[in-house]
Amino acid sequence: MHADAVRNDAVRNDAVRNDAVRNAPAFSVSRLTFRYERKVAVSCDSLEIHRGETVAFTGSNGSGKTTMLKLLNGLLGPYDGRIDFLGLPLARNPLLRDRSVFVHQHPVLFSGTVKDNFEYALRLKRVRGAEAAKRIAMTVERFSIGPLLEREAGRLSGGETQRVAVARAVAAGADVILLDEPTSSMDSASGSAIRAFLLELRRSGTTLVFSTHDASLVLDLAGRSVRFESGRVVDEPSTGGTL
Amino acid sequence: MNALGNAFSLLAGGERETWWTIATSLRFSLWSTVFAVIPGVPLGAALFLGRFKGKRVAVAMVNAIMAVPTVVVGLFVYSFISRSGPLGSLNMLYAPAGVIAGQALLAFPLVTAMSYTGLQKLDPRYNETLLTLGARPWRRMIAIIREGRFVIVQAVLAGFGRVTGEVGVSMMLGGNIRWYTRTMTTTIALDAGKGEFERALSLGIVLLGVALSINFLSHLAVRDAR
Repeated sequence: MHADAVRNDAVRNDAVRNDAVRNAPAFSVSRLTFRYERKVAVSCDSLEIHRGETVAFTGSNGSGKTTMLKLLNGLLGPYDGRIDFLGLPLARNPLLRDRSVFVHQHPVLFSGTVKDNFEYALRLKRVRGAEAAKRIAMTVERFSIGPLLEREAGRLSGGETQRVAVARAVAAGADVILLDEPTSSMDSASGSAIRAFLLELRRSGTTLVFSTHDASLVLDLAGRSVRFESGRVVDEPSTGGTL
Repeated sequence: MNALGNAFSLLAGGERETWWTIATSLRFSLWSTVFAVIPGVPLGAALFLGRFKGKRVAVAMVNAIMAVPTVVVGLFVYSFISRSGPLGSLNMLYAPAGVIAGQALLAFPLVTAMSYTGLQKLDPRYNETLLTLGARPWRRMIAIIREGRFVIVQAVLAGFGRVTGEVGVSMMLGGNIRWYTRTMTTTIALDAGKGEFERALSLGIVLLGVALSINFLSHLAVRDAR
């Protein structure tokens, strides 16, 4: 009887969790305060980012954009307040590492070839063999990065590294991607390639949250922008640019 | 000058006891370093990767233990492996196992602290990338140790240097028994006390060579890390 009750509770909890996951926004932040060495680095009363949305974080250097992205990805803590990812608290959220990836302004690729990087990221998700090969092939085709596949990761240009890092996240199964200044310090060709890359992700329904100083990127890509000032979310215009 | 010449002659002539002492000393140091590295490097990496309350206290404790004098470490281990101690039945006192255990305990905090401080110099994006891609803690630990292999090599070499040059632990736990537990440092202490400088000098030359080699290798590790 006791075992049945425990099993029923587990089934009920799973159902509640699944329901929460199905209907919840990608991120829901409330009364968040993050301090770095006792100084408030980020403070946000309320912020929601819905699934499939593309949101730009704007503001001057040191305003808290990158810190907020890292907080949303669970890379920083502890903090006061609450962050939910897909309806569940961020801490020990089983979905966070399966579905969300943060990409640095200057991303890190591991030693070896680009293909090795994809394989390693998939191995971390316990995807191996034929399934891994299939996912890599699909990602390569989707983002037209075939010529980069056998290249040494350490020898790629900044733009190529950025594209591989985003593609690696997608191959690993992420559908919520957080990017820190994805087009900064890039020439116009690399910037355009990244822009096309992100537009393709947006079209496919991937949730994108990125920080930027590039107004044209906000106009081209973001459905909404959130402005940061001295660590605070100071306003949240309801609409952004167009596709 | 004559003593120095004789010291070189002992080494060059392959004097059996001198070379046995050198080999034994290096063997003890090697094993104790291995036993210090096995828990020390992962612990240093765990301290680096971990985000937990009391982390600063844990790091401060490791650093503090590093400064404990060798005779105190020797005394601590002695209390465990002496006949009346909890590990007395293992007969480790005045035996190679006792020296190795004491030396391992001596090197362990040094290896841990040096691994931790060395890994702190790594690019923080590396760990964040592993974390965001969903690497589990042990995977991150392995990847971080691999990425920081040059600083880890430095920590290992420092541990080896520490135990090769110590005298307190070897003397207290090994008893300086000829053809059994006598090491370079305990021989130097004994022979210098007796006024027999030739062997002491010859072993001193070898110790100096070991120290210089460790510094050189450590320098190479740093250079490769860059």
